[in-house]
Amino acid sequence: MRDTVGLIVSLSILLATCLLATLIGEFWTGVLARCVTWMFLAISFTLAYSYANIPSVAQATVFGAGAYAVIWAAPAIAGNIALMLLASMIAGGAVALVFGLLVLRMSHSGAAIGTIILAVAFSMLGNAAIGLTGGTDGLPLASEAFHLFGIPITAGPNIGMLLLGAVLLAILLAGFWYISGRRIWRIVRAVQQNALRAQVLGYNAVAYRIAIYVISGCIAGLGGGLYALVSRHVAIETIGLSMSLKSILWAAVGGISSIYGGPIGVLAIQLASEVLLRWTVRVDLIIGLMLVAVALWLPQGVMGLRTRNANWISTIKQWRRT
Amino acid sequence: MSGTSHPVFSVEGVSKSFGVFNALTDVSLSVRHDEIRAIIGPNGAGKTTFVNIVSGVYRPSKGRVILDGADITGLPPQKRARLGLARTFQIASLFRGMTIAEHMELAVRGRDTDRHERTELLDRMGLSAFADRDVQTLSHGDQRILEMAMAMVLKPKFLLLDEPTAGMSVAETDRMIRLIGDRLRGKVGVIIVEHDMSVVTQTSDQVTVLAAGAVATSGTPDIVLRDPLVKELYLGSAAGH
Repeated sequence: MRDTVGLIVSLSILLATCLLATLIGEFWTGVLARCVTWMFLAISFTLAYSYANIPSVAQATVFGAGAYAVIWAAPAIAGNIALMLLASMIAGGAVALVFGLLVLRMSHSGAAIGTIILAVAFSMLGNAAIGLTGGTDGLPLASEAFHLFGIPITAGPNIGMLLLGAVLLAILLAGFWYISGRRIWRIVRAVQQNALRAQVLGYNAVAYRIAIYVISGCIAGLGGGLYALVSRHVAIETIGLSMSLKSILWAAVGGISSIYGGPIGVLAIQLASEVLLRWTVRVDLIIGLMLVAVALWLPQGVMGLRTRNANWISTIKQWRRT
Repeated sequence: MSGTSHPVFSVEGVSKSFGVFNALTDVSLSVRHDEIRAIIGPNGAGKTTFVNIVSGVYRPSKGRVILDGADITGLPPQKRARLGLARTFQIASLFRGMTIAEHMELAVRGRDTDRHERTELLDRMGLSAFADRDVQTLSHGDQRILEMAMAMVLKPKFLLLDEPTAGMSVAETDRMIRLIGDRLRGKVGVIIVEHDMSVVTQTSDQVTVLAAGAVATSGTPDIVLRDPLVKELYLGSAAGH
């Protein structure tokens, strides 16, 4: 079932973000460019949680794998952004494949705990392998003449990188909209809703879940690759548990059951954080309270408002008829 | 029924233990390719464990499961389905937000099953008028009938019906009994796990009674249901509930 309204809402928000970036200063353009890279992370969590049935608390590790892949690959592939992003997707997909194979046979809550252990373990390993990751100081992106299919691109928190991220995200969202109307996506939904029922119909539920989780890893990896290009620097905190928790919050605020909710959640939380930082240092407390409010009064996130409004409208119509 | 036709499905000496608890002990039975066998028994008799072993959810601790001559004991549910074992569930297990037509499309697994044949099957089962309706808007009876259509569409070798009339009204139960009689009887090997004795007597060629995880007795419905042991085991226990 294609969610055309969801697609239009998310693409409109993306377009508004790009237009806004042309009107505001360099700082905010950089903030928005990073936000777009995190949108990939939020979408990847939703995909893992809602379609692979893996409540992955290690999505930032997968995101970080993509980011480090770009840092490591940059000198070897002479600034070819297409190849760098391909490397980031492969790295994200490969890490997700390993994580998926480890946690897939666990129960739902078991998988959540399993991914927490993996996230912490990889964070500690990253901290220990300073030569490879740069530890808390991180590693800078090598200075190269970056180009995308021959078109020169300046890496960094600028409008060019914001547009590149937004275009890739728009393609991803439109691609998801297309796939969600196809038979293959009905199988994915069937597996997600009732794995045993799908198995009895002849579908290999485990294979479908792992495939979706790997795709979510590729998306997180791509976001990580873009993040490395925007930030020109990646530190070990990028793959930490707190980053993974943020991805869950973004997805929850946007609407955990819709991948179109991710962009809304990222913008709502990150922009609120940036604005609040100008007046108070207790940003985390305020964001935390906002999230409690969302959990209490908006459990389906912003995208869930549509269903709620539709229900209200139908109740009012029914009341008028009677 | 032909007494000489070969068994399409059998379990041989199947036992299943969960820790120290023996849910099934040395259960053996077979179903011919044109036979309907009912499995009955009081609560705790091991029926659900038996269903899960037949469909591949559980692997037996001992014994073999045979489908059309092939040992499928270790195979997962999807491989059994692809070899021709279909099943329905005790509680209608349909997918939210999908139509009847989409369910049928899932059931054929992208095979070139003639679209006309699919429509005809839905027509014969009284569902074609609702083909584009979300399954959540269907009555409970129609949901169970759809499950049956999904199980039958690929013409399975063997069909496992887990309480096909559970939760149905009298009219819906009669409809299901007619459907089983018209569409399945003499055409495919079937095991029906059922509580409703009138369904058992109207649909089944053979009855196997499970009690405390073992086969208590087997035979034709009229003989088995008159057996004093069965009355004590099954009807006595049912009356107690």
